[in-house]
Amino acid sequence: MSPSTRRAFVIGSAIAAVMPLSSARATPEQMRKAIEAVTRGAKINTGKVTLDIPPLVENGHTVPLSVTVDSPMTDADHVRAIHIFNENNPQPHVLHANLGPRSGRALLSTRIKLNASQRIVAIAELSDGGFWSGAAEVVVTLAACVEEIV
Amino acid sequence: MRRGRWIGLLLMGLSGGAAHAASPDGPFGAMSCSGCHATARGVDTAIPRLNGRPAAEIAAAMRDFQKGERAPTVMGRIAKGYTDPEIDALAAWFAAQRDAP
Amino acid sequence: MQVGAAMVGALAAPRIASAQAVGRVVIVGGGFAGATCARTLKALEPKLAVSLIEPDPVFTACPFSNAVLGGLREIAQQQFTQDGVERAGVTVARRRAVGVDGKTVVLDSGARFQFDRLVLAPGIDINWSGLPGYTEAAAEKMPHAWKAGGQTVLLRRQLEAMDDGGLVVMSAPANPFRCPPGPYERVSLIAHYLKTKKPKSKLVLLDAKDAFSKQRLFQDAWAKLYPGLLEWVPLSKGGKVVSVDPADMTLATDFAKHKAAVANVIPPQRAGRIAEAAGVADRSGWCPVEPVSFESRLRPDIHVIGDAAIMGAMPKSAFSANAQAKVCAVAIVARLAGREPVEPRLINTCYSLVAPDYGITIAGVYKPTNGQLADIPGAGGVSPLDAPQEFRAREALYAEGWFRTITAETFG
Repeated sequence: MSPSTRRAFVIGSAIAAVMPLSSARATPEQMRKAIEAVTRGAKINTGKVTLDIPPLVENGHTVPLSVTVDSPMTDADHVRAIHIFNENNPQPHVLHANLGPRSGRALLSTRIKLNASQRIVAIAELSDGGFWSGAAEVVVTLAACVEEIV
Repeated sequence: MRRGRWIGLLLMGLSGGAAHAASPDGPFGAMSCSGCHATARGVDTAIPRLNGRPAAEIAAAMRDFQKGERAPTVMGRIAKGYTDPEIDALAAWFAAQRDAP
Repeated sequence: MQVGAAMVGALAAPRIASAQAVGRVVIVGGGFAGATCARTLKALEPKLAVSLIEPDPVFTACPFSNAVLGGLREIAQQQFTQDGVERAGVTVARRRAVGVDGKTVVLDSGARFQFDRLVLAPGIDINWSGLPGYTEAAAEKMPHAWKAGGQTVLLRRQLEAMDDGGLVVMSAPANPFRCPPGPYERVSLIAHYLKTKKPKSKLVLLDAKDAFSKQRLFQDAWAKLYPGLLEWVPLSKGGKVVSVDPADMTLATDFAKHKAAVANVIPPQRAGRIAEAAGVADRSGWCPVEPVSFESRLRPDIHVIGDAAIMGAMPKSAFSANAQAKVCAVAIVARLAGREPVEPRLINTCYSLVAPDYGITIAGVYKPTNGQLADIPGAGGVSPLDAPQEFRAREALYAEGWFRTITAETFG
């Protein structure tokens, strides 16, 4: 089921960078490499990161997703960046948002485009240099009985 | 034991391309049709039956439906889902079927 | 040219003299998908051992059950047994499947059915944690009637008992759910009943969506036939029901509480629960399948057809279930004989009655595209918006014919 309507917003000083397009489709292997390019081989812990995305979407053009990271967001302990990766779109690294202690909360809400069913991974980069991840599977189907077929 | 020449072999020759090879059990989309077009005898329905009708008749009707002729209710929209070779294959297949007792 | 003798029901299937399909196929669920698949398998290959697991001795068809709610039809006209399927040579086990262990289906009796191929056609189950307040107990006061049978009769009795001037409140869920036009046909036929028998009554439909199947046709007909009687509240106008209270007979949205004399809650749904037990349902609660033979993407040798499956653009309907069942049977026979199944084409046509003599349709022709069933461009669509009454009457007549035909093919 789709989540209830969320206000889509990126808090505070987050900057979303869009990566250059490539024509080939990403693969799980490419996603792994793209993640490594960000973490540079550092250990990725599971936890702290909640990736909220509907399990089944009928319109891959605009899929709501939100990432929440469990962090006090203080000067001493905060989220520096949130990255979103996927396995099947042309580019594996779809979103990079910078945050800081001024962000208030480590919450990123946005919409992404998915052209096929796949796994989505969110990586949070913390101020202590640590990386944490959360993941979700999304099935992208087609809407049935849509009238605008001519 | 051979049960006789299988019409599908003929159909494979008619429809173009390996991707369109006819199934032995009805060509493309044929099996969906019996949801509306009864094949069992004794069903009280205003929807016309197809089994055993001349292939040329069925093919002509499908082509007319595609053009919006014959004042169809739903068949115009359905007929547009079939290519010319698919229509010929369907028509030949229905012509060879018989209603179940 | 010799043609193979016509078999029971749908198929006169001339058979090629080639590698025979051998093996055991077990089907779970005896509705439009399961029953059709079982008897089609037997018709195609009489030597196959085909078993059907279905706990209910009587199947109550959902299509046209809205006419029972409207007082236009008797529930008996909706009811069918598996006797015809048995006569077709299928072994019917009247038990419930509770799990799948390797290549064995386990029943509630403890009996085990081994399979070479398994077809799951369990339909839907209500998602009892999908709507706060809507529990199984709640369904006895606020029926869903989205699985036909006792619930249909219950809701009909409630409508009959309601005083003239009462408020009927319905709620419709977000996608995906069984039968996209269903809630709107139900609104229409309950409105027809109220208009003719309890004209001071009103009907409100609270919707978790902003658009629905055949929307313009329905709304056009409602304006013509039931002005002032019914109101559709879409999502963007606060239509989404967030909780219900059966003790109070209230349905709450973000903005209002609606108190109903009769409440019909069509709640969030999921694939029938055997799907989860078998490991073929994903976290959405529905079953992803490949679009040629409908084999599960999560478990090999298990096929899922009908409402339980994620079928791309092809909707959850009885017509679709019956069509998918036949394609699935052909594909399984091919596989068991060591052949690759041929890419299918499928049709769906959904008939809806806005009034007894006013029918509308939506149709689609589908083929596998990019890993799922997609509409063939240029084909399909809805009945014309501006059609004369004669056209509407003809579609209503064909709706009747369709029901008799599909039930004869599936259960006859």
